[in-house]
Amino acid sequence: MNGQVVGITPIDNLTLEKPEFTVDVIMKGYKPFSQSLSLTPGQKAYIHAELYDVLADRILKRDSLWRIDYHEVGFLQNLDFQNMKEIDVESFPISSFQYCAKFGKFSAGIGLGFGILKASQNFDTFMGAGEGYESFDINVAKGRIFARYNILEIADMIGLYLGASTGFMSVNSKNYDAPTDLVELRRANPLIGGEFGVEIYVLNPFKLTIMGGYDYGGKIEYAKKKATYWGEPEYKREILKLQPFYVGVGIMLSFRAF
Amino acid sequence: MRKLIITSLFFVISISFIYGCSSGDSETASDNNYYYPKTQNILFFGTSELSLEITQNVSQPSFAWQATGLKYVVITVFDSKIDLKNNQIANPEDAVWTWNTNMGRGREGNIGFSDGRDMRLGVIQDTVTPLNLGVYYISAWAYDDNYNLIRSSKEYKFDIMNNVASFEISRTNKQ
Repeated sequence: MNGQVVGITPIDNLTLEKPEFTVDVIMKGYKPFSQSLSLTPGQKAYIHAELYDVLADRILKRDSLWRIDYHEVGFLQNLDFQNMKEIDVESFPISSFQYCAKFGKFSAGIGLGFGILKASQNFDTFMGAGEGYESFDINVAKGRIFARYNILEIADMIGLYLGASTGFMSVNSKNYDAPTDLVELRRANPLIGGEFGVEIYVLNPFKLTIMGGYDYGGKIEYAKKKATYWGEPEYKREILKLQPFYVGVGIMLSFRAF
Repeated sequence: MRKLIITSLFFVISISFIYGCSSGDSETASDNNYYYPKTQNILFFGTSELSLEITQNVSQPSFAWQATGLKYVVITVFDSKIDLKNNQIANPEDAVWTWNTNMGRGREGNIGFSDGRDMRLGVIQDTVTPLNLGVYYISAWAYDDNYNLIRSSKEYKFDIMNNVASFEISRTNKQ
């Protein structure tokens, strides 16, 4: 009171020397509470101090929607699922790095991921349909910008979000047995996706993110083979749709922007 | 008189020599107005050579080659020169006989004519018919386990000429 420490709350029956005074309630990690009063002799006053942590205080007193509260960087490991029986692929891993800026209930960021599909084809031969087998690789790169809305957030504990993203998905099919013009087939597709995720604060400043989503990633090309009795096998371009669902986990490092 | 005999002998020898040079094997041979050069490349570009040995001048030739160990070896007899397009045979309809390792007859490296089968319009038949008199073209090729073409032979010109019958008759007379 008036700059002097008078005790730890709760404090009852504090007697004043002067009728005008200023009460400051202070707790580490919280914005100080201050109130000035003037009492008449014999009058009693009850002071209830509400303290807000620094983040809550910032949010409540937000003067700009776009002021960043947190920066987050992290590593995610996804598993994309899509049944592409033509190339014997049902799932493929994507590893990615991500940056996210949080401001209030919204967040936005960018991500870049890479993965390899281990593909194969059973092709027709002069011995019979599907008698031949050939394996090849397809490299995938995903780049996206995303926006999220926190539908639930309990500070430093858990958060739920819904997100949307757009970007590109680049696929590169490599088959070294194919003719020169079909050895590498590249395609850059626009990417549109949606995601739902849970963020769990495991050990400040780290948090675990578990997510699931869907990407519309355009098309993928590969060289389809057919063996003949009369010499070199035949290859032709085949196109498949690329629309995987995915689930994943990630570790994010979160640090304050203020 | 002696001069006359020597001159006559010289003439006979010269005529025989000239005739022999023109009728025997030469650097080129004509077949249906096509001059067949001795130098022949292997059939499929980008493959390793597969040398084929063929019994000559018989209507049911046998074939031998150094065994490759490859999963799929094919030998085919055509009644026309073999045409290629994009490293594939463009005239499979001209094939008259074929053998491959999947037929289960003969063994890779040595096969007889009866181990193979007739071919009509590119389709393998169930019959085996001796070759008629004429000129044929033979080649072999082989694939690895992934059906990639990796070996092929040269195109061999194969003649079945009239003296096949003569050869057989002369053998009978000798007996």
